[in-house]
Amino acid sequence: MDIVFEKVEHVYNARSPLARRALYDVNVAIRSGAYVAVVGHTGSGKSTLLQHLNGLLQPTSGAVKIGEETITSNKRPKQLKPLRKKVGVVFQFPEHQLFEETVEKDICFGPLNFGVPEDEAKRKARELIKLVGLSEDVLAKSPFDLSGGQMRRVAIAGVLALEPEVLVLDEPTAGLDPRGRKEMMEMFYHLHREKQLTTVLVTHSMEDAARYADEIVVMHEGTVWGHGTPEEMFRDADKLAAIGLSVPETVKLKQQLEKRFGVVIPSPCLTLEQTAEAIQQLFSKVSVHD
Amino acid sequence: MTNHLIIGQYVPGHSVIHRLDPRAKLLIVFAYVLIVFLANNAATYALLSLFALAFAALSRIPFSFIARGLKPILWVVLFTLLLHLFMTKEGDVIYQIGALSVYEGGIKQGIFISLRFLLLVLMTTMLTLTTTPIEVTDGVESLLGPLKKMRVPVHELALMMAISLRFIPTLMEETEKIMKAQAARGVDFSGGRFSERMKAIVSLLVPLFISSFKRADELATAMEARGYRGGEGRTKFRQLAWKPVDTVFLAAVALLAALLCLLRS
Amino acid sequence: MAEPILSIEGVSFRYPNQSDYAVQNVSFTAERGEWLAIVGHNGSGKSTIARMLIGLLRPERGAIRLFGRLLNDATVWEVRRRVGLVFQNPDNQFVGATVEDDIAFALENNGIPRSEMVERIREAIRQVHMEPFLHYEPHRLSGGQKQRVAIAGILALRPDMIILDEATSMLDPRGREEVLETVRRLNRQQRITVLSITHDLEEAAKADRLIVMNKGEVMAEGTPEQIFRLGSKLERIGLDLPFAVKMGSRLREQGIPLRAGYFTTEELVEELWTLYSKK
Ligand SMILES: Nc1ncnc2c1ncn2[C@@H]1O[C@H](COP(=O)(O)OP(=O)(O)OP(=O)(O)O)[C@@H](O)[C@H]1O
Ligand SMILES: Nc1ncnc2c1ncn2[C@@H]1O[C@H](COP(=O)(O)OP(=O)(O)OP(=O)(O)O)[C@@H](O)[C@H]1O
Ligand SMILES: [Mg+2]
Ligand SMILES: [Mg+2]
Repeated sequence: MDIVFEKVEHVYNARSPLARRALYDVNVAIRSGAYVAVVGHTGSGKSTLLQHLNGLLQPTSGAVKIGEETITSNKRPKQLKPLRKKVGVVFQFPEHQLFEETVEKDICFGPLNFGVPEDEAKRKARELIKLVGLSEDVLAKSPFDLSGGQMRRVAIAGVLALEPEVLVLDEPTAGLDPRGRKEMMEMFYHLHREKQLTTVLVTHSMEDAARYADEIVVMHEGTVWGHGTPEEMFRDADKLAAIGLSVPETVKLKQQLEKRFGVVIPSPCLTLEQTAEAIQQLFSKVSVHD
Repeated sequence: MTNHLIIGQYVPGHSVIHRLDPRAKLLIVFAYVLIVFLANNAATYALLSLFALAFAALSRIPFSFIARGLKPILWVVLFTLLLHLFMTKEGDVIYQIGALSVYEGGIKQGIFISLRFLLLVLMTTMLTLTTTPIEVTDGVESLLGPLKKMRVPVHELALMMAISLRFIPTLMEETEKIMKAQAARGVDFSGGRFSERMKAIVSLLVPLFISSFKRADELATAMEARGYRGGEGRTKFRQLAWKPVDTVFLAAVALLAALLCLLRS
Repeated sequence: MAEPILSIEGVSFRYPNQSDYAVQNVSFTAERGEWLAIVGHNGSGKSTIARMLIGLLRPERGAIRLFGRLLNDATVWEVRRRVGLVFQNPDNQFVGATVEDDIAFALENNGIPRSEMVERIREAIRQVHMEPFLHYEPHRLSGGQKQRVAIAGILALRPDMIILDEATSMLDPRGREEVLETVRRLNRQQRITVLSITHDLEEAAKADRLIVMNKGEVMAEGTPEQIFRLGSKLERIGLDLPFAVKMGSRLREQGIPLRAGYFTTEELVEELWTLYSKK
């Protein structure tokens, strides 16, 4: 499903003394199947942007096109349910949305709301619990007896159970330890590839943005500051620093090496592996010259 | 949602009313609420209205804003008016619609009673519009101070009130977040069959309770970590200072009460 | 060597109705002015230790000594005055209706006279650079600002030690840097001892000393250099390594003969340059 934002503006509490413009002049196109990272300083409008993707928020002007559907300030599809089924959203600290007596019921909650038959929902729950890295016997437990990390996985399974075409993730790894964080990001990437999802990830980690995303959207004070491939977006560290953002450690290393060595490293150095490769080449060149 | 209901909302300002000691304001409003019931004729009601209007004017809050806030209660006022109009059978018949007749007494009663209600709401609204919740709490704590001797946990009650007030915006934010998360899972909070609606409410309330308990637990721990051990031996940062102007305002209310006694029939 | 400001000896703890120990036979010390970091996977017992240190939980076995005195019912209130604990969730530790009320809270609890409070609040708010926000309500502050208010609340008591229990984990990178910078300054200028519980290995790398927790026990203790030499052993218990360490070992695997023992990108660049110019 292609997603297009055209001149989107969003004002919270519009037409009241508390009005606050959170987005303006947002023009973004996300092609079907892309993995897009949205980065930006606190309050830059990332979460507001996300909530337009499944009609939780309506633009106060402009238009959001999601597949066939168009949402504008005065027009939205009569039925939001089909849209919500196609666009799954994992909010920040999704474990706060758990409420059923058992993990199984909680995972089935979404599908049942969308009219999936019960036995199929249950079958899906069994499949998903393994996919998110938990064992099947967790299904019978109360979600509130699980650890924080496990609860988070259950909540994510509950969103995946909708079988969305677009998966929207708002800082899904906050508060997890490094291993938990890595496993979770790998899981989303795997899903993205396997189910050909369109993935939109809000993150503060430039490393994750560089490693997983095809494109990065940089938000600044309510509008899109830049949009391009990780390589393009991380080219100018100073400009990013000016809006309170940094570049990944690998890019920092590359830039410092270039300065110290007085060379130009052609590789974008977006991941550890790429960077190691680039340094290897730097050193082998020397040996050739010897 | 909250935009139309201004009752309970504070409007920052530096007017003389804003700067009154919260104890003075609480006493004024409390006294006013009592003496409203002394009025029983045009003169006394006029006097009461004048006082309330002067009080509102001194607060420098735009009258249109206050009026807009009072709108939601207008239907209650209207209802009271109509009720008395048709139910009171005193004096001459002024108007007749079929079986319903309107008496002179009815008109009078209707206007007086709805005016009384309007004045009550206006004055209490003025209190919250010009006093921060924490000031109200401080005022209540200080006024109830003597009850401490009777082993009423005044300090604890006041702290409880202050903390609840502090967490209202946080809880509202939380409610909105959970509603959105469940809406994304296909919950429809605005309609549906009864059973669906029940489920929707459960899916909101259970997470809200759990997170509130967790918050309460963490907050209690944080308070203990910061050395809280009840009111004993505690000093207070917020101090109330009674000024001459507070006495003047209270005196004005006393005067008002005296005049009402004189003028009532 | 000076007497340690904090020493815990053979401490174990079990939550009520639990058969497993959340913390088992843990011992370590901290010197005055030291920055000590505790790292470990989720559920490894870090927060439990922090809570025991200020007497919110009582160890089942072992002893905790602070400022040369045993932590017990008689000393716990003094300890809570001298040791400040900043929790993870910025919202759930903000007690006051406004910033100044919140900073005053602990002062009120300790019976500080009002005239002195005003002075101390002013001093504390200045140290965390939040002067313009004195009258703000919490819902008008960002997470990082709330955490700085929490720190100001501690500073107003003129503490000897600050414990950060993942105090920056719910913040964005800039908020995190603001908070850490504030604490670092206090640590350097006023020699306030800092005990920082964190998942952020880049932050831990800047500590004087590290304690690695695994399943309720201390797995290792030492300078960052000593700890990061453990390499994949740390990764096996769910921890990360600072970027420069990971990069360095990757390069060594590829046959670049780098020395170990650096944690920052700057050091790595220097090391590479030295090698490069020798060729
Ligand atoms: N429900 C709301 N009502 C009013 N204003 C809001 C609401 N939600 C967000 N805002 C405001 O809109 C702006 C953008 O907020 P948003 O949550 O989209 O930022 P963000 O980029 O997601 O930030 P963060 O990194 O902190 O999550 C902020 O100034 C915020 O205060
Ligand atoms: N109130 C409690 N009741 C029962 N068990 C608890 C309680 N709090 C923590 N535990 C358990 O004690 C162990 C240690 O928890 P602790 O919170 O100290 O870990 P932590 O290292 O701080 O983890 P995190 O990185 O997730 O904050 C965990 O197994 C946890 O499940
Ligand atoms: Mg956000
Ligand atoms: Mg913890």
